[in-house]
Amino acid sequence: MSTETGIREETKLCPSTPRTKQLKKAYMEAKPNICLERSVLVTESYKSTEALPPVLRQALAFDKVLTEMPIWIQDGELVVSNIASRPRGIFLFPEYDDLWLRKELDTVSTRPADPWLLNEEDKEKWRNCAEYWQRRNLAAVADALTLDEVKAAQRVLFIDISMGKQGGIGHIAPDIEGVIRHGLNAYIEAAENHIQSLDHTDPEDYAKLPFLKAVLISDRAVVKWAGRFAALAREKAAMEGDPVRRQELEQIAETCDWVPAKPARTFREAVQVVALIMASVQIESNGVSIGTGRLDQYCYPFYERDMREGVITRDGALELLECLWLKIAESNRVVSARSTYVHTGYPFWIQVPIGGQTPDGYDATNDVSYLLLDVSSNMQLHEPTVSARIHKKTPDRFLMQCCQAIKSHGGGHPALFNDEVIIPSQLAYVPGMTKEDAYDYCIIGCSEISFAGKGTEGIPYHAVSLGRLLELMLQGKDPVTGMPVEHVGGMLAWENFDDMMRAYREQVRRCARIMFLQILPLVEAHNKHRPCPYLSSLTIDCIRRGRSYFDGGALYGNWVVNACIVGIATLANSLAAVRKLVFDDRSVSMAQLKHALETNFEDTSTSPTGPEIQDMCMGAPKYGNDEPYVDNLAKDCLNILVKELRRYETMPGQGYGATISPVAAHITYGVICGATPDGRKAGTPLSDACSPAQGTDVNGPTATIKSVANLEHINLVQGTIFNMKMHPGPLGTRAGMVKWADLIRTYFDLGGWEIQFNVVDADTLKAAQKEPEKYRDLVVRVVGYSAFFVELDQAVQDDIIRRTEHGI
Amino acid sequence: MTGKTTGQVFNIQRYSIHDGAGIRTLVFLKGCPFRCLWCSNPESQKAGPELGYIESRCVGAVSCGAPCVAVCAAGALSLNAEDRAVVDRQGCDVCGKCAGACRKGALKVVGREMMVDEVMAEVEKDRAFYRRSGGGMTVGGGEPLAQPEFTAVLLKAAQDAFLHTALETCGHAPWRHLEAVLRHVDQLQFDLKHPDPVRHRELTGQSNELALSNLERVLSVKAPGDVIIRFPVVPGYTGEIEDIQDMARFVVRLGFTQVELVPYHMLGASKYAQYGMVYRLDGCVPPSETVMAGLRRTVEDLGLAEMTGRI
Repeated sequence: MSTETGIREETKLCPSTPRTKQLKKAYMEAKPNICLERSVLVTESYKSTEALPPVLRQALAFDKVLTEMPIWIQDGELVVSNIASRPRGIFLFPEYDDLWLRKELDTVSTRPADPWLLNEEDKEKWRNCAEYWQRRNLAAVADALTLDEVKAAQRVLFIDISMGKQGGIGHIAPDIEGVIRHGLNAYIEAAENHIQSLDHTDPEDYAKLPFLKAVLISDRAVVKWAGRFAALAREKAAMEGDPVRRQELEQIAETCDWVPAKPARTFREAVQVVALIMASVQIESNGVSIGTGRLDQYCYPFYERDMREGVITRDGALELLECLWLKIAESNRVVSARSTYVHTGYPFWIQVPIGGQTPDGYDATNDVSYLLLDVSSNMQLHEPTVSARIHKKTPDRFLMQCCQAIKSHGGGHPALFNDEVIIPSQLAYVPGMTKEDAYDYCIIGCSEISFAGKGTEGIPYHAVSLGRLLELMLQGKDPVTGMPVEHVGGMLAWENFDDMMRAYREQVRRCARIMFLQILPLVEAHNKHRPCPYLSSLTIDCIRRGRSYFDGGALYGNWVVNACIVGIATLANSLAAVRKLVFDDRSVSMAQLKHALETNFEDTSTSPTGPEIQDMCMGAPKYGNDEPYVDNLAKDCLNILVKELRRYETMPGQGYGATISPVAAHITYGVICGATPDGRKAGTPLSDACSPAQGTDVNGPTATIKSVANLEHINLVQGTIFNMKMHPGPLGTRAGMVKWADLIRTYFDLGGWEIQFNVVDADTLKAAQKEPEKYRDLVVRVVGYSAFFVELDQAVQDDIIRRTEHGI
Repeated sequence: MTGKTTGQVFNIQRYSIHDGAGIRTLVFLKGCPFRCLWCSNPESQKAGPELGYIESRCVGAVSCGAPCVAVCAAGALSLNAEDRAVVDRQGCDVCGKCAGACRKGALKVVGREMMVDEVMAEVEKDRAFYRRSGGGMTVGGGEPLAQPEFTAVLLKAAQDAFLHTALETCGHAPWRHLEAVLRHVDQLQFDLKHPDPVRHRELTGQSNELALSNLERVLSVKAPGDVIIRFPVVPGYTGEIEDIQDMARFVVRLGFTQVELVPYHMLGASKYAQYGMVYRLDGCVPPSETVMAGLRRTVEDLGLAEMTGRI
């Protein structure tokens, strides 16, 4: 389908036109700030609707916000939408959970990681709202539903689910394609027709009414909101002296009068729909990682026709998409200082998948796929993230252009995903999944899979630390309280390797149960109290079924959760070290090792000394070097975990899924984890994602790839992240690029799920640490997302620098 | 000639991308007849195993108790004023016990007797990458022809396993050895260090006559497309424009079509001290990109394809 040949050697690394350069400059210079308007409006609305069903209350609050929030259009913008009252502003979502702010009101503007400006007047407004919400927000509801046993275990296991409470349904992609093709009016009409057809004497039908009414209110609110942008554009046009800009504003007005209510007619209108839907979904409930779905697929027919008819040029389309990029990059969420250690760099995980296959199994790469690669390279923003779907028939030219973009961008865009593993994994995992929908999957979050407008996932981020699990099995007691753990002795009770694996299995079983029990009340709270009627209306089959997303409305995965597994290499290396040193070589006794761990390898009065034991531990086989001794342990441990999670069903026939995409949690979880038998000292980071532990993969990229591919990625149904850092130098030659592409293809041949690269050198990063003002543009990929390097916390910066550098 | 045939190997490097087509595993054999001043693998020169000592990794006896000194039966290890290990090269019999005792990786034995089967097991690990990229195994060194039988058996084993094979050689060996090996080589990389026999001896310790006479016979058994002649570019020593012209004209006359210009680098310099050797090229700087581009034009003007970055 593509009309070009060869790859574009040099991308500009800056926005393509003076307009988008100016818009990016404004974006970069604006300080992230908190806008209180939404909090006040939502609180007023909820206070006046206490007798109504939750779904209607949420719709009415949404309507009030869209009707009354201040809106703005910046100079030069061609694509309009707002996610808050000011550029780079962000709303709060008190009806979910923003009470953590109570302790951070005075520090949130000045904290080291991801500060957000908040003025004195707005602090007061916040306090007034907080008073209403403290016993009514979603976190309070979920908390009331959670078993005491689970609350206690949560503290021990340190399973973090806070993200799932701070906003609505996330980790999905709404049906933007449907809105582009049919217009929101068609959704409104469908809801009206369904209401007309209800038999109010039938209790089941009767129960659908509030949801369908809520859909009407919400979808109409979005149409009205677009009308406000049209009116504002017209108002600005009337006052505009420059005739060129006046015409642009008039075109914006015409566009927003037409879409999203009616079907898009042009590429420009389609792009405008994306901006408005992405922003309005965020305003409803601020779910984390709402993806665009397959932008290149649903925009291509418009692009192709507009190009053919001379309505648009490639450069014009590029500029429009660059404008869209800046609108999407506005989306974000304020999180607590503690959370910033886990996810630092203002991440929001907005994914734009490109390439891949059509539902019929043909190669889907098109001109817009290539355009989006250029947009990503040109804009150098941390969000959104372009991710390329690669399959056996992906044209080499496309993969090479992706490599070129990764090299130009340097910060990990695009991440590359493997259709050949992902599609069969979804067919096997999701009940009722059709072949067509599986081929049409899109990427959301870090590595997760969704079906645009059809569901899956919904509850984001639910991380378990294998470091903590390891501590529990080694010590046989809770490392925090010292309370013995039931049924399981500590490491001194292990006579052999089988005993150790039995202890692991028991801990996993216990942990999986707690994780599941923890997620149930959260889903219940979302389902009953914040059902997100607007997002539900953009999810097939909610309107037809008259049910919200979590209530059985979504076509796939009424609710899916995934357990993020943190520290797999740390775990496997530790078990391998115990096996090698204690059981195989007998070079230390279990008691000696236990003492060394308890004293953080620092006791020099023993024989061997603590540091000597640490050296022995470091010398044991390490995951990432193509050594089956330890690689198979990693694989077996994961399989045990996956199997234990699958015992619990999130819907009939669908087991609890797992993923290894734990953002930067390996650092936080490392801080609270004592010394481990792999030679890691207390408090230092655990291994990240499914990558080897920092600095332990010494046999080169092919060995690392083989170790990582040895895991059964296909079983980790919400994906894995594999981070490789690359030096840009050797990518300068054609052969170097081809060999890089071959390396990627081989990882995928071997069954890998996803791979991403940081193409930077350590010296650049160190220089950026010293003179951050000179490197404001430097984007790095931190496991599941990209971030501006200079905005990262120092510990995260140091960690990125430390990671093994694979010299290519 | 079986898989049990053994040779001295000093390194097996996976993911080599600068030594032949595709992604390759490079098997480095020990021993070399040349002593090129710019050699970046000083540990490759001697035939047998050697003790390498990375002083910067030595933490000193106070910290580790110096188990290396205790285990050395030959009495070749002692401590200096800073309590760090010192190696007496004359006394050392390379038994390797000290390397086993050192937990900091400061001492290691380089060079290991390996069977062809063992080498192949390592080479096999990256088969999936070779298949994708058209890569395979490259045998280099040192000088592989210093161990002609082992090299021939190893290359044959790789070919029998359906792997692409490449050989890096300086060509200084009896023709019958080279000829026997070439039967199992898909791609030959032949180094020409300098055109003048006298200067060649100054730079490498040997005349170039044997290498040149072998080169004249290579095309009797290999197609030009399967051979790359490599010219080192070491500013002030070899690879001046006249040298390159001389060598390029010579290989053109013989019918070769592909060359590669290999710029000097200093990455090996720090290794000399680890083996008790002295680096004699201090102060030499790698050629600039401009110089390399000029030389590239020179060889291309003579009708040769310059292969840097193309394979």
